[in-house]
Formats: sequence, structure tokens, C-alpha cells
Amino acid sequence: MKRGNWIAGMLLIMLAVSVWFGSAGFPPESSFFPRVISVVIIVLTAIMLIETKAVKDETVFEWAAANYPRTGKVFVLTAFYSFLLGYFGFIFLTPIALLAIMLVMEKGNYGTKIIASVLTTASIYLVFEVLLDVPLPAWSF
Amino acid sequence: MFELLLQGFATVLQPQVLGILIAGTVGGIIIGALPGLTATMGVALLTPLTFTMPPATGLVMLCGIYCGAIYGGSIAAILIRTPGTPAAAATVIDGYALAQKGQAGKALGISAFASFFGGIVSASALTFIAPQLAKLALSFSSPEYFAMAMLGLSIVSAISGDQVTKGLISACIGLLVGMVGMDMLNGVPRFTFGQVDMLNGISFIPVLIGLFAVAEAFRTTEGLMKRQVHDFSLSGVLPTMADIKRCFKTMVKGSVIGTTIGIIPATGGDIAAFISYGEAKRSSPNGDKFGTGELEGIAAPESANNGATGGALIPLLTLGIPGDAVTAIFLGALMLQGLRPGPLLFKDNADLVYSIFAGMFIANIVFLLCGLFAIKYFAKVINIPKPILTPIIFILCVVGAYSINNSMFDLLIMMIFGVLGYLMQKYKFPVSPIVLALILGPMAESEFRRSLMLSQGSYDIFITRPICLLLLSVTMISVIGAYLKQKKREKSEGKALETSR
Repeated sequence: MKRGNWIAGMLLIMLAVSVWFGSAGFPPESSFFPRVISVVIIVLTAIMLIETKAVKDETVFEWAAANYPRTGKVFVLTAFYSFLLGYFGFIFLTPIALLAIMLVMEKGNYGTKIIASVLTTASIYLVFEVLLDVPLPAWSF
Repeated sequence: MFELLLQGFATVLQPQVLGILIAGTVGGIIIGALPGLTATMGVALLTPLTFTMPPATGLVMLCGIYCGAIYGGSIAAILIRTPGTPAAAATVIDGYALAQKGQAGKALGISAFASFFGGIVSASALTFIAPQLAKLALSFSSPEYFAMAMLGLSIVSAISGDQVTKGLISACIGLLVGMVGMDMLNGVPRFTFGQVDMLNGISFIPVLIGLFAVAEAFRTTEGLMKRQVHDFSLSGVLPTMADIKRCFKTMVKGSVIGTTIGIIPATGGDIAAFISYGEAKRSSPNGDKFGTGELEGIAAPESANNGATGGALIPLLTLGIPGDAVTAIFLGALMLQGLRPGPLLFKDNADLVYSIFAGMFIANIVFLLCGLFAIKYFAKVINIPKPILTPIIFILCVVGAYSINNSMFDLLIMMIFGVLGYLMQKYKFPVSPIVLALILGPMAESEFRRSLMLSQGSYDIFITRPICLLLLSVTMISVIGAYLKQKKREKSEGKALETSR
């Protein structure tokens, strides 16, 4: 936790400094608020870091535990799905992505998972495209 | 007023609107009944759906989800000792104990009735108090709006729990995110890095979905539990007249407590439920039986947590101040429809406001009917395995974020904020302040600058107007009070630690 707070603190200070200098080119009325906030961030970060000294340290991520690789894989799959959605379209990609994420979460039960993937895709398509007339990404090749 | 209310009912009772309200309420019950899915997550996830609907239909659906989810939380609390939502945490105590005695049906029945009672009382309060408050707020001008936005932002310290400093930092991040895009008053692009996608600012729906739904789904993935199948046999769900008579006083008190606490920003159903439970235990002649499966022990928290739903909408609709995460998302949904909550909403869109009121009443009736006659089907959703449910949530997040603007950029924003939200929760940075600041920040900035234009650059305008001065003073007291409270708590915790050594 302590190390995390220190890293967060450094990132926040970098953000605040970037905002301060990033707003240098704005007219005075447009740069006033960003600059005030960048100063407030620096002050609050300093308070947080001082408070961190008194905090009892605790482990936030136990990398050896099986859960984190699984969470990482799910993130990568969701990110890929989001990225590829515009190319392969909702109908083609969604059942594949759903099945893949379900299998990363838990192996086995293939039949149930295939049915759940197809039914979910069909239900979402029905609600968004057919009932609400909200366009979903289509195959673009 | 009654004419407008009747008009509101006429709107909500149209077959299409009613169908969507019922679907929303049923969806809310399912979301609430599933441990790990909260009312906030449900409302965040389904807000994009409202974009293509007429404003009344979309907002009424959100009311249904909200009321349904708060009630639904009690189903898992009673049946599997796991509150479906934080608001149902107090219901576990007597609800589960009664279920263990083989009277799960009775517990679910009184829970549905008490939730309905609380919901109706709070919807009535919303209908009759909100317009009066809005009338008062009609005298507001830019300085008062600025002060009100600051008051809304000061809630950050209260919703940050024991992490006030980190909550304030989160709020600052939200304020910065709210500044991305063209300056509203002079059109200067700020922090857009030459990206056309960023000129209109960062859409708050992908941010909401990322922070609440995606981050929560990551957490569920991390702590995935083994499959558990529960077998429920439910009978005697309909409460008897004797049961209702016995719990009547408790329900009245719970509803008043819930509605009052709901009005106070930064509180919510969970706090209301515990206070109501404590009060019922203190004042009931059966107080010593609480914890062993006492009916009043279920009626008290359930009437209070649903009582808080209407109460929470009062400051949002009248002043534009969202008191918690769910109402912050409501605020987002209203803005998505091009509406600005506050006194003018009552003047310019009275029909819509009264449709929301009518929707609250009908949502409560819908979940009562579901709770009394279809409970055995809702009880089954608890058995949906997480490895199937969580991927569906991920896909819904992606579709929801995309469908607002049909933009891949929004998906990127959702993923970034999903990871940010997950890491923030890990390192105990409260996430709700980001949303609050993202929504209220632009209002605070523009009204501040407009005020200075009005006063030709003089800051006196903020202290010479009584309402503005009052609101700013309350803001100061709220921030300082929360900070001192945290220090006091830390001190007493430190002393307790030393004593235990």
C-alpha cells in the first residue's frame, strides 16, 4: 500500500505539473481553473504522502495468487474485443469473445457456455438493434 | 400539481412506457439479487439504453432499475446471507435467521411489503416536497449556482469514507477530466492534444461504465468464487394482516427515517437501513428478539432503504445536487437527454418531472407484485454462475459505452477508466468523487466565470448575496467538519490500538 501511494503521489505530481505548463498557452480565464486544480493536487498529494508515513503497510497485490493472471487475461481479451469490434462486427465477434472470457474464468461446461454466448449475443442484438434501433458495429471487410 | 401528476401517470401508463418500466424494475430486482452487482452498477450499465428513448421513458426505466435493485438486494440477504446490495446489509440479520427457521417465504413477503411501503412514502415526499423546494430555488442566479455546485462538490469529503484526502484527489482528477474539450465560454480547446474526438470533451457515460461496472467486473474476476447451488423452497410469501399490523409502526418509522436520510446528500439506503434497524430494536417491545428472526427486524431496514430512493432524488431534481453515486448517474442520464436538473427543470419540463414521480410510484407497485407473486423465479437468479455472468457484464459494458456515440474512442475511455477504477479501489481511492466532479466541475467553472462577468471581476458577488453566502458557508463547514471527523476517528483508533497492546 505504501509503495502504491508513493507511486500514485509521483504520478499525481507529474500530472499537476503537466496541467500547469499545459495550460500556459490558454487565455487567462481558461487557464485559471486548471492551474488552481494543479496546485490543489500538489497540496493534497503532499498531505497524502505525509499521511502514508503513519499508515500500516499491507500487501495489495499478491502476484503469486492465481487470480491476477486470470484478471490480466480477461482484461487483454476485453481490450482486444473492444479494438476488433469495429472490424469484425458485433454478431461475429461477440460469441467468440464471450466464450473465450468464460473459459478463462472457468474451464469446462462447454455446452452451457456456448449456448450462453450465443443467447447473450442474440439478446443484446435484439434489444439494441431491433427494439431500440441503436446501431451496433458491423463487419467492415 | 394534481393535474400534472395525473398527466405523469397517463404518460407512464402508456403501454410502451409501462412495458419498459416493468422491464427496468424486473431487471433491477435481478441485478439487486445478484451479490456483487449493485444498484449503481445496474443504473450505470443501462443508462446508455435510455439515450435513444424519449426522456420520460428512459428516466422512468432508470427509476424502475433503482427501486427494483434496492428491493432485490434483500432476496440474497434473506436466502443466502449475502446482501445483494449494501443497502440490504441490515436485512441479513433477521432475514437470514427467519429463513433458517424454515420461514424464508414469510421473510421475503414482509421484505417486499415493507420495501413497497417505504418506497411509496418516499415517492409521496418526492412529489410534494420537491416542487416547493424548486420554487425557492428559482430565485437562483450564477453565483448561487456556483455555490450550489461547490456544495455538491463538498459532498466528496463525506462520500469518501475514511479516505478524505484521497477522495479530494479523486475529485480533482474528475475536475480535470471535465475540463478536457472546448472551453464552454470562449471556445478555446483545452487538453485535447489535437484530437478531434476530444474536442467535445470526455463523455461521462464511458467514464461511469468504466469506473463502476468494468472495475467491479475486474474485482469479481479476481475473487471468483466456486460454484454454489442453493435450493430454496418458498411458501407463505403473502404477509398476513396480523404480520402487517405488527410491523406497521416500524414501517412508518423506517419510511420516514429512510426518506429523511435519503434527502441528506452523501448518505444512502445502507445508512438509513442500519439507523432504522437500530431505532426499531430500541423502541420495539420485541427488541430483545431482534437477531433471531424477528419480522420487525426485516421491515425496519427494508422500509428505510427503499424510503431513501425517493428522498435521494429530491436534492437532485430540485437543486441539481446528486447525493450519491446512483443519483450522480441519474444526473448524467438527465444531461444525456439535454436536460439540466434544478429549479428550471420544474418550470420548463414539469411534465417530465411528474412522469418521474409517477414512475417511482408504479415501480414500487411493480416490485411488490413481483416480490409477492414471482419471487421463486427471482430466487433462482442467485444460482447464475459468476464465470458466465461476469463475461456478459464485460460485453454489456463495451456495447453500452459504444452505443452512446458509436465511437471507438469511447471504448478506449471506458477501458482506461475501468483499469483506473480497479487500481483506485485497490489503493483505497474512492471512485464516486471522480463522477461527481466530472459532472459538477464544468458547472462550477462556468457559473464562477459568469458570476465574475456579472460583477465585472469583483469577488464580492459571492459574499453579498445571502443565499450564495449561506451555501458557501455550509460548503466550508461540510469540508472542515468531514476532515475533523476523520482526524478524530484516526485519533480514537490510534488510542484503541495502543490500549490493545
